[in-house]
Amino acid sequence: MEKNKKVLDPITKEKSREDIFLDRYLNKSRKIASRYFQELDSLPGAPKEYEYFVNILKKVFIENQLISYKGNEKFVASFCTMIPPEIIRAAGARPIMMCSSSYIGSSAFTDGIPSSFCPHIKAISENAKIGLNNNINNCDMFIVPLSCDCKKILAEELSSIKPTIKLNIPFNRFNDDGMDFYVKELKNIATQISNLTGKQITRESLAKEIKLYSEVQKEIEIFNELKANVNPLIRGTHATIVMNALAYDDLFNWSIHLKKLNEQLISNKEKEIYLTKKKMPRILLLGSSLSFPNIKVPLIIEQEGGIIVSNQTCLSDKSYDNYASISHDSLDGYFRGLANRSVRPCVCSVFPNTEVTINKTKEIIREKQIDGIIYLSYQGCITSSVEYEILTRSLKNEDVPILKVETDLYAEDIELLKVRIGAFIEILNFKK
Amino acid sequence: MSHKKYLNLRIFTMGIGFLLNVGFIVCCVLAILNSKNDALMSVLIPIIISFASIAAIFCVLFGRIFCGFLCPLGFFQDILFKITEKLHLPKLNRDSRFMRFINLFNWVFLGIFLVCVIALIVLLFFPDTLNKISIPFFIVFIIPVVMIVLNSMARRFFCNVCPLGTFIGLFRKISIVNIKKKPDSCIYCGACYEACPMRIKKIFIENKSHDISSINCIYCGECIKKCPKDNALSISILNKTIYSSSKKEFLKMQHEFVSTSKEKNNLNGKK
Repeated sequence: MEKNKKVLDPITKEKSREDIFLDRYLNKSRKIASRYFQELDSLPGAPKEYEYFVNILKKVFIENQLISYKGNEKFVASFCTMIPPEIIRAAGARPIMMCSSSYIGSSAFTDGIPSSFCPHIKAISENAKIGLNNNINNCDMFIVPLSCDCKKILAEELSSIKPTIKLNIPFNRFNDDGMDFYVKELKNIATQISNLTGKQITRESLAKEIKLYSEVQKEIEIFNELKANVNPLIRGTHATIVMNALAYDDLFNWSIHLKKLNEQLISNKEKEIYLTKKKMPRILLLGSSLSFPNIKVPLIIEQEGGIIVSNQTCLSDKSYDNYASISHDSLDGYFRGLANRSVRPCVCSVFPNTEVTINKTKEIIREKQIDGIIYLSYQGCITSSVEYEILTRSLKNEDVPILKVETDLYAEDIELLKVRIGAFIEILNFKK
Repeated sequence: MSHKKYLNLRIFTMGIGFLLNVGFIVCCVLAILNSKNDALMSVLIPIIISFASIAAIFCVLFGRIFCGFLCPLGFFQDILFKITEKLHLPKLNRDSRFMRFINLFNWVFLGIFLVCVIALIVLLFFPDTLNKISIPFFIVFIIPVVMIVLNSMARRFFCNVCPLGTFIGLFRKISIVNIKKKPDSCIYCGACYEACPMRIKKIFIENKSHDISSINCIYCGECIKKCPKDNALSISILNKTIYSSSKKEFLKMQHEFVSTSKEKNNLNGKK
């Protein structure tokens, strides 16, 4: 709470120009967040246990508070799922994922970053510069993977604010040297966080974290299966909120509540309480990152009558799909397993081996009876538009239509998106 | 077949293999030492010849399954590795460049091995030549010591350079045991490659062909054990699958591995 005051209190008694701007920004971002919360409330069929996850996001975006802060914890913000959170946790710090999609940050006047840049990067760096979000202000360290060109700029921008680790990613994933290098990088991260917290990373602590994380992953997998039930049990937008809450919340608390939510959904399934018995087009959401304030695309899909059975964007299903497979019971073996898990099967458009993405998409189409795919892409993200082209080419034989939705971090194109997505879902309905 | 069953089968057959091999070696040594005793030789020679021919037929038919299931040296290495793993010693990193280097050695060793086999046959029929050759005796001790040291750092290290294994591996095309991969269900997580004691990269990067049998594969089943996808990898005899990867088994194993840590901070129990 102390840190919270530090940001809001002006240095002098009078409010400086910057503080007036900060207040204005804060009010604006609250307005946007509360508008989306209203839209979420108007979407019917939310389970009871889902409240906990919304409250976390409300705490972050409206009350601007820290989540389950124990007073002396060090926060380490990671900007990608390629950084295994087990390592951060084992070194005694709290990982939070800061893939911000704040509209204010994106549209604020930027000094260094050109306007045609990736909106997420603009949002994150501006958020951090203005000090809009207390969760970012409270962080002691940033870890930025240099995965795409925009992330490189982000690392440069953030390093002027807080100590930032620039993590190199091995892009040729089939190469051994790259993998060995990545293991070294992860060990380097571990020692840097250890220096920050004063807690050494040991084999036991890492084993404990891997255990906890894989149990959480199992729970997430049950949740994903329930989400893709033949008769819908939970809406994809609500599920997106549930997964988004993990970015800010403590892993253990979050997983206990997810377990409760799963139990509720399973009992609903046994009692045959479904959202609707009507057949709705089953949508697979693919593409770039999707985090809280910018949930317009899943909202529109479900308002127009579709249902998202699988959400393969960052911060949702795809980040938690792969388990760390440990083949040697030593600290080095754990690091190797984690490095393998976080890079090799990663479905991200920055990697040149596209068969990983194609195989996974085909498998989801087969297993979850997908009717249509909506590919989410942002302006300025070249790699994702290339990935879309490759996907359309390779999914020709699957008989599943793909719609590419290119958007930005603003609310102006909502009506336009409604028309496009609405028409797409109507066609899917007609096909059934 | 589950992981446990496959492992138990391997341990069982390895025990038998160990006994058989000891018997075979005892026979050979007796034959060399008592070559003048005609009565003993008339019993021993047929035993040795029949045993060798059965082993040869087995190796041609089943390929390097001999290494994973019968080889006493492999058994010894597995036990050694289990002990070193319990001590949590770091592992020797064997990247593809290192393996290429090692595989070169493989062929050199195969050549030496074939020369030795011919020498042994010569010895068997003309035992007098033994007195004329003087083998430096310390070599006999150096080899096991080097093997023990290397094997404590990497699993089944000797198998990487084993000449007998390489020789048997040459018959993999006509062997009835195969290891197969379904490229469609692979997520390229590299768990198989990481687990493979022989460091066969083909299992991991193959994306078209179903056949991934390799000259180095010893059918230990480690890749299948660590594979998190259903039926992505499998071992089959005469195109009948006997052992395949499954997600359920993987998760069970994952739980077993992590349950070794003493902390009870899991979701089911209280904190």
